[in-house]
Amino acid sequence: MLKAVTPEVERTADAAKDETLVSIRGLRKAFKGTVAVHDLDLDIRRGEFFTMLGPSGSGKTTTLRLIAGFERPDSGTISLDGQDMARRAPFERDVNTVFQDYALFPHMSVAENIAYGLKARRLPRAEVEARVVEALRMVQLEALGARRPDQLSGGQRQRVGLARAIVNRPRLLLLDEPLGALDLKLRQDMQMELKQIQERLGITFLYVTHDQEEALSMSDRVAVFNDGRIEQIAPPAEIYERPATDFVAGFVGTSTILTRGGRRLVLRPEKLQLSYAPGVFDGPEWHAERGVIRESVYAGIFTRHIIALDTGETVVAVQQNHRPYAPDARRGALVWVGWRKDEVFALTG
Amino acid sequence: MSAAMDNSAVGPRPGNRLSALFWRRPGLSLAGLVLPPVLWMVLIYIAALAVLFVAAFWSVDDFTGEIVRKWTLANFQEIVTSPTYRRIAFRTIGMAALVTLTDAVLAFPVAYFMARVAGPRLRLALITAVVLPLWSSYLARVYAWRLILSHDGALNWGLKALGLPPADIGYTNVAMWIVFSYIWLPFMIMPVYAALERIPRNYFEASQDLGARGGRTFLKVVLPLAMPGLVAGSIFSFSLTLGDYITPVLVGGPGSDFIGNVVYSNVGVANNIPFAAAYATVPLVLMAGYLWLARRIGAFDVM
Repeated sequence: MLKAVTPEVERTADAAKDETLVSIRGLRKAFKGTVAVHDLDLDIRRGEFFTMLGPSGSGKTTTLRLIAGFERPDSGTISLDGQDMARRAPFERDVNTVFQDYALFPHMSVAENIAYGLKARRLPRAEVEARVVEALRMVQLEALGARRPDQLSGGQRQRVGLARAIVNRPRLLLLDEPLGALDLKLRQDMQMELKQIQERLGITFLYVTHDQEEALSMSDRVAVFNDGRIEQIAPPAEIYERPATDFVAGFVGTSTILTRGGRRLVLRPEKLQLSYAPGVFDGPEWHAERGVIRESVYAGIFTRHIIALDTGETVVAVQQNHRPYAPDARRGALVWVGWRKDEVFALTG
Repeated sequence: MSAAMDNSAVGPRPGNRLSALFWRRPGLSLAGLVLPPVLWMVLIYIAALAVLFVAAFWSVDDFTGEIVRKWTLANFQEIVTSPTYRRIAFRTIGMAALVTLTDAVLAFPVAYFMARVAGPRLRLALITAVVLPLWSSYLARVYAWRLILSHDGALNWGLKALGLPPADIGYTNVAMWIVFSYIWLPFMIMPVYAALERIPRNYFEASQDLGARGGRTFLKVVLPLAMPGLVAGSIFSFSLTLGDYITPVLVGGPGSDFIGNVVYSNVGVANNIPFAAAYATVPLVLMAGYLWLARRIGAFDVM
């Protein structure tokens, strides 16, 4: 992967990684009696790509808006480098936002949009121009500085939104579902690019999304939100492999939760193995159960099987399509579902 | 079921046959739609304007009082050279500009409050309050102001009660300025309100987020985006003031004649329709230029 940072910069960045940049304590916000954020505690480290993941209405966007200053908290503190800014106006915070629907000023050119924050800080004209050019280059829009936002595609607009924010070199960059309005292919390209820009600049990113794949593939750490509270904060692999709660297990990826021997097991579809004959999963490290394939859904890379176990419970298993697949061949077939006991995670509580 | 539907759709009823004809010939249905308004515009509006414009180049025989249908620039010459007509034209235009400016300044905070601050119920109440005066007669409202501003009127009663000297502004240009500003204010508030209401909330947030305080957000984001509304409103207040001749008569003084008053007296008393037509082209040309400018600013997008 492309690495633009020099070794020295990288070392200092690594050394600073454990340092806390943002510290939120007891943050609370209610709208007309509905509590959107419940006494939230959260620490974000310097240089981190931190993602707030959750369904709509889970409080992740409200938390972001509280950090940006667009909403006033009912109580709690939001510290940036040790200074509480919870009651400061947005223009007094060293924080910039990339908006979901871009929020580009329609009456200004791309370059004027990007220069807006620098002019507001009354930087010298030469510096404003130099930094606008640099920002345009960073988002690969060098040639489009004179265009108006309505002459750009959605992807280009979002790049301008990003450039307009990072040109100010904020200590913290807030991204509110920035790729939500883009189509899949573009979204995947932009994910890579965002991650690269973040690593190159070393700016701390606080990213809000409801797309779990996006959260897993980009983040250093993920906070899973549900109903105004954080269910778990952990690196992506841990969120997926060792979910802290039923909600996390269900929201991040697909899983079936089965109780076996008093333990509640999180069964990920790709961890399950299938056999059309008994006796394959016989070793002591294996657990196997019999069932019938109810439905097989072909999805290109893999096929998803919905299996009714003899216990009456339903599990979902996926099989990679290593070989050309014959659709519907296995529906109604008797099947043995097996998993390695050491590969399956049990929920606590 | 679908067979039954098909039958009725291609059935022999004349209405259906007509619809089918229009469907096959889109040009025909377009012509049917466009023709009535085009005819109306050409006959009633453009034709009348053309007659007015042509008549402006005629003259009236001094002895017989008959209209002489011969091309002459005498009317325009008189308008340009006569100090009286020049003064009246400048008074009219100046007043229209002053009223427009006053209304813009008065309307902006009201429109801003309605669009961005008030809740939905208060907003509805305010819109009603702004539009309400338009339900009563223009004449009645001008007369009411005449009573308020006259020497023994409500204004001077109030000043007297406060122990202040009377403000004798009845029957002056100041009175005209106040009354015009009042009368056309709703026509400024509504388009400005519409323009402000259309600004997405996150433009305000983005501006603040980028470090701009209220003043900069207002000057760089709100005002430019409200400009089409202000221009749209100014078209109303400017053109309505420009064409008015009743308020100058009712609340203006002896030196308050407008272009409209001159046109009126030339049509009625002096019976010099060619001169009236020529003088009437002054605001017409002015407004045409202004509308062209307004269109370039994008004022018609919010009307």
